[in-house]
Amino acid sequence: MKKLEEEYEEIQPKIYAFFYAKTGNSATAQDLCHDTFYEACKNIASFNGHSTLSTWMFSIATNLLKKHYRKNKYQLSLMQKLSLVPETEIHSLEELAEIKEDTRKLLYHISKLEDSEREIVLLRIYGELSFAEIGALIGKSENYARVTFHRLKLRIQKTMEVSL
Amino acid sequence: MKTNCAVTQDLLPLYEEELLQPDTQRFVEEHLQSCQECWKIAEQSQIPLPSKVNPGSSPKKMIRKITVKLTTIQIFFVAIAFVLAMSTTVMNDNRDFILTYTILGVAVYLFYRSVLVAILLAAVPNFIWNCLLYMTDIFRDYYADSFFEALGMALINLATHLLFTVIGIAIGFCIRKIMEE
Ligand SMILES: [Zn+2]
Repeated sequence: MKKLEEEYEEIQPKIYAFFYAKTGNSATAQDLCHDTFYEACKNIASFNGHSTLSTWMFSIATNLLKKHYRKNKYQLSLMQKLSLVPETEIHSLEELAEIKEDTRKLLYHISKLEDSEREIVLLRIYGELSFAEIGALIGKSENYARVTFHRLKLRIQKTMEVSL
Repeated sequence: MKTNCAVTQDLLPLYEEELLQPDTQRFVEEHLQSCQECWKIAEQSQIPLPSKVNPGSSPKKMIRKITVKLTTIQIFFVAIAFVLAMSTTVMNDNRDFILTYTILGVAVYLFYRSVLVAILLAAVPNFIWNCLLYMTDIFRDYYADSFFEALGMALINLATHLLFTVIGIAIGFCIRKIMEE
């Protein structure tokens, strides 16, 4: 039990960062993070060890996020909002008020990716998951996740440099 | 040389994580030494993306709070299971347990999503109670003559109760599948 708690403590900042990048709201991210850990603690007996603990927790997190947006239908996700505004106006988004400039730009460019690509990037840089874990989560191979992330990262860096 | 560039760039993700065979690694290193363009790309991909996010509240506190809450719920479930075990014995022809143990199975399974936890929660209090009932003379009416007779009765009792718990778990499983659709 102690060991599990330690692992939870280690994963928590990653889950939080992932939710934060997805919602742009620290209170919502906090709530979703709490719900994820509640579900995880409650259902730990059903964790079968086929995947890593992180993979399992992130699949809970993704499900809760889906539920969250289904419940608040009127609410656009941060990524949807970002993809709608031109780059010059990203400062006016209230969600981004507490986010640093370079991270703001990064999120903006991430929002321009396709859904499946975006998931890989967010899981990697905010969830800090291994490529094997990302592969398991999105139902693709480890190498698919690795190569795709690598390409997307170079592409994002290129566009960010151009836009500076 | 252009093919070497494409090959090197494709290998970069593996090269950075040191997943290449020694020979391939040497090939990449040699090419990087000689090709400015690929060298730049390799350098670029070393730079992490700016991804810092302010940390949320302390995880320790949150996890502690959740643990306390779940422990309370667990104690509550165990208490209920004991009350159910005490109020139903096959001996006095009480058939309520068919309903109560099914509901217990549904509720515990839906909450913990674990068949094992649901069965343990129903079985352990029931078995303890029946052992008290048949093996000790606290309740003189049911006191069995021999240890094996008592054990047999306790086990038969346990089996009938568990049957309905399992039915409850099955119902819970169906409910869960429908909800997830
Ligand atoms: Zn080259």
